[in-house]
Order: sequence, then C-alpha cells, then structure tokens
Amino acid sequence: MKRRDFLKMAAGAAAAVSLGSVVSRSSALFAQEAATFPPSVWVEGGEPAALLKAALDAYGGMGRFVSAGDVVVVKPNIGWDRTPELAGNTNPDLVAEVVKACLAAGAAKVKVFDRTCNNARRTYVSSLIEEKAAEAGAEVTHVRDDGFVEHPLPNGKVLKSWPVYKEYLDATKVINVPIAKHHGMATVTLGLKNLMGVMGGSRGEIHTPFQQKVVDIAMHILPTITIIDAYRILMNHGPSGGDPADVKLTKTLVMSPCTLSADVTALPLFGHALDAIPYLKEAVSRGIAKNDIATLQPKKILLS
Amino acid sequence: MLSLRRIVQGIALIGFVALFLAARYPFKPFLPIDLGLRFSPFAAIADSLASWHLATAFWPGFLILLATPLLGRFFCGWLCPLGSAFDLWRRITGAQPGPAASLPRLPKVLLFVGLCFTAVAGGPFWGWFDPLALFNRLLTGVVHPIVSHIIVYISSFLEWIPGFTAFKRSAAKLLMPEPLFHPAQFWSLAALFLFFAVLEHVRPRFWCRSLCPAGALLGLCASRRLQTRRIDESCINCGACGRICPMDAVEASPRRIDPVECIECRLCDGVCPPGTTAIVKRFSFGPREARPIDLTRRRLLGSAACGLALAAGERILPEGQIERGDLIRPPGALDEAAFRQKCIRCLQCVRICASNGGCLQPDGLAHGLSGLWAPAANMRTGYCEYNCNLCGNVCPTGAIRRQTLTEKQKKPLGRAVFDKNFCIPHRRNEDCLVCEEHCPVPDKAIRFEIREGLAPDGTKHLVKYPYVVPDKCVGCGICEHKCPLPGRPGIFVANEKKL
Repeated sequence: MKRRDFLKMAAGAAAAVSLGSVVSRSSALFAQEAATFPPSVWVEGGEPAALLKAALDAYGGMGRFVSAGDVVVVKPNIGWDRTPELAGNTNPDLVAEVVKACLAAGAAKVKVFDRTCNNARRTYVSSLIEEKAAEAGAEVTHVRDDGFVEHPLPNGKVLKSWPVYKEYLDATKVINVPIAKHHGMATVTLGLKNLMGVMGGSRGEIHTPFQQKVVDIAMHILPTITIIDAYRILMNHGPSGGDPADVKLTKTLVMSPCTLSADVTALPLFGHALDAIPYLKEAVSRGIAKNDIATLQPKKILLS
Repeated sequence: MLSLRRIVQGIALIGFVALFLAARYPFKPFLPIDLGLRFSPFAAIADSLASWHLATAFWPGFLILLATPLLGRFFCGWLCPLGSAFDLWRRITGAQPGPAASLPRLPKVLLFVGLCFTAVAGGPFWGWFDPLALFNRLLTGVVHPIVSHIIVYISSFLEWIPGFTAFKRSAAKLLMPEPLFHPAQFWSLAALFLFFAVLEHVRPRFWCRSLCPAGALLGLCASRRLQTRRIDESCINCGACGRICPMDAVEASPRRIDPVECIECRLCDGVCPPGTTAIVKRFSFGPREARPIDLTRRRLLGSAACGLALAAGERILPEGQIERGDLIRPPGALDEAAFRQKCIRCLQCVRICASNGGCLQPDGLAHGLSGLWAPAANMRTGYCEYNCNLCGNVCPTGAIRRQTLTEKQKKPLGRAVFDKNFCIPHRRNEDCLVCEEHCPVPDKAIRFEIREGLAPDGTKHLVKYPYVVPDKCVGCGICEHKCPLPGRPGIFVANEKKL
C-alpha cells in the first residue's frame, strides 16, 4: 500500500469514526471538529493529575475515547521491583488518574495489569500501582500464565502469530500508559515497546531480531490512546534502573491516539532523533502511524 | 465431646500451619515465622552440640525439655504438629493399624544417641530427623503444593459466580495459598510422605514410638518424671488401658505405665470398668517403675560409633565433590560445611522464596548425600529477587544469616559468567541483551560494548556484545533465568564468590 493510499484510507476511516461518534456525543463536544484535534500533545510543568487533565482537554476529554459501558484496559508498566522514585514503573498517581477519568467517562469496568519482569507480587506492591489503581476503582490483577491466546499477525514480516493476553484483546478500549525510560538494547522504551507487557511466550525471543518482531506484534494490538508518563524519566541503566542519579524530574506527559506519534513526540526527552531508534524507524516504515511522522506537529502545552 | 487435649493439639497444629502460611510476601508476620520450628527439643540439643554453644534460638525447645521431667512426654501428645498430623491422618483415613504392642522402641534411642554424636563431630545429618523440621518439609514440599493447586484449579471453575473473582482476590491476601511447586525433589518428598502415611496404617504413632529422636530425648527426660501416672492395687487386670494406649506404654505384668512412652494423651483416664479407678496420678520422688530400656553399653557404644562414622564419612568425601561450581546456596548462607551442619532441611526458606518455587529448591543427591533437601538455587527456573532478603529472616537455625537488604545486596551468591559459545550476540553476532536489561544492579553488572560483527549474510554491522563486571555482580541469576536460549543458557551463575 502506498503512503498516499494509506493516508487517504486513514482519513476516510477517521471521518467514518468521527461521524459515528458524533452521533453519540454530547452537544458540547459537537462543535469541536475531529480535524482540529492535534496529532499529539506534549504537556509540561505540573503534577500527574494536572498534566493528564490538560492533555485530555486538548482532545475534548476522555469521553472522546471511552464511552459508556466500555471495558477498558489500562496498561501501565509494572515490570520492576522498584519504588516510584526510581522511575522503573509508570507513575502510580497517573495510573490512578487515568482509571478515574475512564470511570468518569462511563466505563463499565477498568482493568489494570502488566506481565512483569520481576516477581509480580513484589512489583505490584512496590510500584504502588496496585494500591492506587484499586483505590481509584480499577480491577487490578496479576497476569495469568494460562490467560494468553495465539493471536494471528497477518501483516507480520517475521512472525505470523504470537500469544497475546486475552483480557487485553477482549477489551473494548485500551489505554497504554508507559513510562519513558532509557533501554540498553532498544535505546528508549515508550508506548510501542510497553505493549510487550501483554505479549506471552518467551519474550526474550522477541529480542532477536528485535525491530521486526516487536513491530510485527505491536502493530496488530495497537491501543486506543497512548499516554506516556514522563513525570520522572530514567536517563540511563534502563529499563530496570535503580540509581536515583539516573532519574530526571521532567514533569511532562505526552499523549496521542497514535502510539507511534506519541513515541516520536517523546523522543526529545532523551535528546534522540527518530533515526537513532531502529525499531521506531521500522514501525514508521510499516505505515502504522495515524499521522505523517515526518511533519508531525505536536501541540505543546506549558502549565505554570 | 472434644477433649482438652484435642483442642490444644488443634490449636498447636493450626498455629504451626498459620506461621507457615504467613511466611510470604508481603512479609508482615504476627509472630516470628520460625517460632513453631524452634519448639523442637531435639534441635535445641543437637544444635547446641553441633555448635558447642547453647542454641538460645531454640529457647521454646529448652522450655519443653525443662517441663518434661515434671509432666512427661506431653509435647508428643499435646503439641507436636507431626504427632497431631498422625492422629488426624488415622482419623481421616479411618486407618485400622495393628495393635500398639510389639514394636521395638529402642531404635529411636539409638538414633538419638547416634545423631548426637554425629552433631558433636560436626556431621550434618541430624536435621533430617527433627520432627518439626520434618513436618515443615512435608508441608512445603508435598502438602502445600498439592492443596494449593487443587484450590486454584477448582476455583478456576467458579469464576462465573458473580463476585467470586473479587472474593478470591481478597481471600488470597489472607488465606488462599499461591501455588508453589518444587519439581526437582517433589517425588523424593512425596515418597517420604507416603512412607509416614503407610507407617500409620501399620501401627499407630509408629514414628513417635520407634524412630523419633525427639521422642527418645523426651522419653529419657520423662523416665524419672515427678508427676507419675500409675496403676494402683485396685486394678482388676481387665486390660482395657493396655488396649487403648496408642503408645504401648501399659505393661501387662506387672501392670504399670511406662513414663518413657506415655505421652499424656489421657485416653486411659476413663477406661477402668465401673466401680474401679485404678489409674491414678501421684507426685512421687520414690523409685521409678520404668521398664528398662535395653540400652546396653554395647548398643550405646555401637550407635555412638555409627554416629561418629557418619560424620567422619562425610569428611572423607573430596571437597570438590561437596562444593561444585553449580551449587548456589541462598543469600547469606554460611560457608558450605557449616551450612550443611546447621541446616535442618525445614525448607522454610524454600517456602518463602519470592521466586515462588523457582529459585530455591530442595537439593537432591547431586552434591553428596549430606546435601539432600538442603536449599539450593536453580537460576534456570527462578532467580533471587534483588530486593528480597526473606529467606534469612525465616531460618530457625541461622544456617542462612539474617541480613539487612543492603548487606544482602553486597554479598554475592555467586558470579555470572558468559558462555560465549552459546550466548546469542557472541555466537551469532546479533543483538540480544536480555541479560543486561534485567540486571538489577543500579549501575549494571552486565554491560555491553559496541563492536563490528559479521552478520550471517557476510556483511559487517554494529553489535552490542555483553560482558560481566565481576566486582559488581551479586549472582542473583536473573540473567541466567531470562536468557532466551531454551535449555542451556548463554550466561550462568557459577559458585565463584570467593574469588
């Protein structure tokens, strides 16, 4: 498929989606045309709750993405047995705010889970995500080994199928909430790579060759929106970290309905260009972006 | 009607199991987790003999010992969870064991004497026979894995019930066991379990009467007990007490009760026919009525010699046989010889290991007979959590030292070593770095250098080659565990901490 065709089709699909949602949307939002929404937003200078609110407002609120009765999966990074200050996992306050926003938008149920790297009993507790997300009203569960189903990957280059967590596939909406971190092998880990947390099987095998395999799977399970937590980011020794000196307080949040646009928007946090991140380049070349990445113009919002 | 003894037995058994269940993360014990295990009078004596110091950690065991000359073997009949489990097993299975009589009672005394000499000589075998460690071992290795898997399996069928999942989650925080399974030694421990189960069908309390070294110790202490249970002149020789006694403590002629065997179960209290109460309790400093234990000098010397030979035999093994490069002990474990001597194989550390049955496993015979059931780390099936020091917190003997997290993170279990013939980047010139990614050391003990490598198609490209910084490595083994190669890993933890 040529890029032009793809863009045309994407535009058509977007129009159809917005038309469909316009019918059900409230009159207050009616005035805001889909076309005026930014491809991605960068919010800076506030606490997680304020950052999220500003980002959602730029898109007309969570109600634009989550409708009444939706079963929503909020997918943070709960991979590591680290406290929030060490920036190994998604900020627990942000996760809680996302959960609240989904429930306020009428979600029937919000589920939070992640396939962890360290022992799940420890990471769910030490990340504070279990406590805060449950307090916010989410159903927080450990990932079960028997909860994966083989998911076909018709557009995969190397892989033709891979086990994916069933509860993730069954959700009507998915909100991907990664944390922006350094990563030894992948250089950075953001929204696209965060989706590895719902991939089953031997994830180590995805590493060889990483670019093709991770995109093969991720492109088939893209979320509704991606909200990148960059309140604290890990600048070195990622993705596990552990040294406070490697953590940078950036008080930022990046959001986009397009995972790839969100990832590319977040790259300046680390001073990287797209060319330095082979797996993101690979993802762009597969045409999974909903926006033209080359001319991407994120909306920047500065809070006090 | 439940007798007082049954109630006490139940409380002691439930308390012991509750401590076992509380040995988990998040670690919020209501009592010291190893308290139950420290009630063992045998471990109190043997550990003291082995270390040549009073084993003060076993103060509850010493209290039992002090009370025994007054009250007799009440521990066996009232408190010992293994004894209670035997009683419960007979009740549940409706076992019809043969008559209590005709079971040699001497072996336990010989075993006790022999094991004491083994302990004095620094031999490591006595812990196998400690009744409380034995109970905990079977609980960890056999009962808990089976019961928890059954619960998890059944509850997976009940999830359609509204609210069941929420109930299960809240119950799991208190009660519902997380499934544990230690495949390597499950079968040997299951065989041990079956052995004891079958024994109960042969004779009631077979172990307690014939084999238990703690029973022997308590029996010896009770042989001159002050509060005696005796049969007075009003006895009409009906024999009812002898038939009901599970310990074969009632002798037929002359009719008397043997304080060495009596466990104060009180079953004989009301069996005298109407009109007689021949069984009475007296305080007495007078001559004992104990039936002599046939512990002749020859037998005593024989068992002592066997105990010493056992300890010596262990020493004859070449050192390399005992401490091989693949043997990784829990974090904070004493040096190998001391560790084997101290470890009573209660498997409490295995139970609490955060890897949930992955990392710490009861070892088999690969590292010598004396290594049997001692905890060893298997990094392929699990790994040591960097922020976890719980195994040292629950060890009743101090075979694993109690360490703060900072201490634990500085004391390596071993060192990671690359097998470059297997490691993907080194062998195939492709990026992988799963090990580097997972390395928990804040500034990474596994690092990488970027060099040009030859791709399979003959072109040159940049590859990230991992290497270990030995001084940084804590030997946690997450690299070995997460290595994507199936079977033999490209990096493994070697027992090299002393280098």
